[in-house]
Amino acid sequence: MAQTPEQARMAALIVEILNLEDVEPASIDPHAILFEDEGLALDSIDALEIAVAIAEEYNVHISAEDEQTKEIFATLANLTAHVAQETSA
Amino acid sequence: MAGHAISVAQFHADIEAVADALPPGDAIVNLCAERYRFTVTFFAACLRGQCNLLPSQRTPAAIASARRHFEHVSVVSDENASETEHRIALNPGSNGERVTPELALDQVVAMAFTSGSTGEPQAHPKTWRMFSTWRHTHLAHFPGGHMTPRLLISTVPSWHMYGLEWALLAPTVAAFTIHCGPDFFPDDICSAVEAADTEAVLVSTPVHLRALLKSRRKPPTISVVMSATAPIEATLVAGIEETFNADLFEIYGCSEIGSIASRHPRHTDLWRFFPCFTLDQRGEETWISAQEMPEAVCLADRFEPQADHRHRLIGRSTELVKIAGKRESISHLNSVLLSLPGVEDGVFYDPTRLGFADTGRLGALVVAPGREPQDIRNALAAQIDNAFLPRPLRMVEALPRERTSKLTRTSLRRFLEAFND
Repeated sequence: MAQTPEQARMAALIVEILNLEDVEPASIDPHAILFEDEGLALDSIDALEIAVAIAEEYNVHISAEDEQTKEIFATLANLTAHVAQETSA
Repeated sequence: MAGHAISVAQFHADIEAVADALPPGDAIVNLCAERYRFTVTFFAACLRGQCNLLPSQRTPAAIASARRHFEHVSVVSDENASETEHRIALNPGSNGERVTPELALDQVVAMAFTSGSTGEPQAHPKTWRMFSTWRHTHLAHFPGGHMTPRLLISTVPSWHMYGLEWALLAPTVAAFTIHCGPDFFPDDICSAVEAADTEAVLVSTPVHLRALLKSRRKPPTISVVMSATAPIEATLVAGIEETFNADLFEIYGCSEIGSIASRHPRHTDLWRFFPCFTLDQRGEETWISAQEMPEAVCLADRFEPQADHRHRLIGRSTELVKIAGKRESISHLNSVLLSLPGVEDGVFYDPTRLGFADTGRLGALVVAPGREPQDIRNALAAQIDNAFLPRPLRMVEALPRERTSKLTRTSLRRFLEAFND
C-alpha cells in the first residue's frame, strides 16, 4: 500500500535513525508489523531510538504511560497517526 | 504519585496466592513483563521450592534451552495484565516485618544462563545464600547509604542479573521503593522521578542513558544513577551528572556471579570489589572466589591490584594484543577512543580473533558524526603507540550492539563482513 507524505517522512526518519542502510524508506508497508520477528524485526532499543528521534523531530514525547504504546509502535501507519494527533492537539 | 504503595503484608499475600496457583514442578520460566508481577512470581516459585530459570534472551530457542535443565517446567506470563503501576514499598528496618519468604540458604532459587562462545548456554545456579550475602555486602556500599528512603527506577529487566539484584533484591532489604510502572522511555523515567516524593535512583545502562541525555524534556534531579553491562564513556558520565545533578555509580559484574565491583568514574578509574570476594591472579587471568560460590570463576577481564584494596582494570584477558613486540589491551584502546571529543561510540578489534585474515594491525569502527577519520587518527596518535593505530579506521553510523549494550564477536564479525563484500 502506498505511503502518505507524512508516513514517507516518518519512514525516512526510521531508516535514518536506525541506520537501516539496506532498506528503502518507500518500501515499508504502512500496515506491516515493525517489531519482533516480523517486518523490519526491530527491538526495544530501536523503539527507544525512534522515541528519541520523534521527540527531536516532532517535539512529541512518547511514554509507556500512553496505554497503547504497543499499538503506537506496531506499524508505520499507527506511529504516524499518533504523532499527527499529538501535534494537532 | 499515581499508583499505590504495596505493603509487606500485601506482598506476602500476593506471593502466597501466586505460589498456591503455580502448577507442581521443578522450575519456572518467569515471563512476567510487569515488574511487580515478576517479583511476586519470583518469590512464589522460591516458596514452592521451584527454581527461577533466567534465560539470557527471551527467544523461544533460549527458553527451550533453559527448560532442558529440569523435567517439569512451567512458563508464567502476565501478558494480559492491565494495571501498569505498583510500587513495592518494603522497608524492613521500620517495622521489623519479614519481607521475603523464609528460605533454606542452600536452596537453588534461580539459574542464570550465559551465552557460551559456541553451542549451548551455560547454566549458573544461584542459591539463596548467594543472594542473602549480596543483600548484606553490596548494599552497604551504596552511595548515600541504603537506608535513605529512595525511589528506585530501573530500565533494566528483572530477569537480567543486574536488574534482579538491584531492582528485585535491593528493595527487600534497603529503604528503597521500586517503581513498577513504565520505566523504559526517557519520558517515563522523567515522569517517575518528578512524581517521586523521595530522592530517585536510576538503575540503567549506557544505551538507555545516551537516549535519556538526548531527551529534550526539562531534566529532573536524579540523586544516584547506576550504570552497568558495558563500559560507560567519560563524556556520557559528565553529561548525565551535569544534566541530572546526579552522582553516577558504575557497577562491574557478570552473569556468572552478579555485581562484583563498583566505582565512581568521575573520581577514579579504580574499581573497589565488594568485600565478600577474593581475587587471585593466575598468570594473565584474574580469578574470583567467595565463600558462597561453589568454585572460583575466571573473570573475562584482568585486574591489577593497587593500594587501598582497589584494582585497575587492565583489559579483557582475551583481549590483550601484541603488535610489533608491544602489548596493549583492547579495552584500554577503546577507553582512549571513547574519550576523544566528538566520539559517541567506537571499538577496536583484532581481525584475526574475528576469523579474518591477519593484517598485523588492529581495526576500529568509530561513531563520530561530523568528524573526519583523519581527525580521529590524529587524536589517537597523540595518546597511543602508533603500532596500535587502527587500519582500517571506519566511520560508521552505529555499532551493532545488542539490547543490553553488549557488542558480541558474532555481531561484530557480521557487521564487518558487510564491508568486505
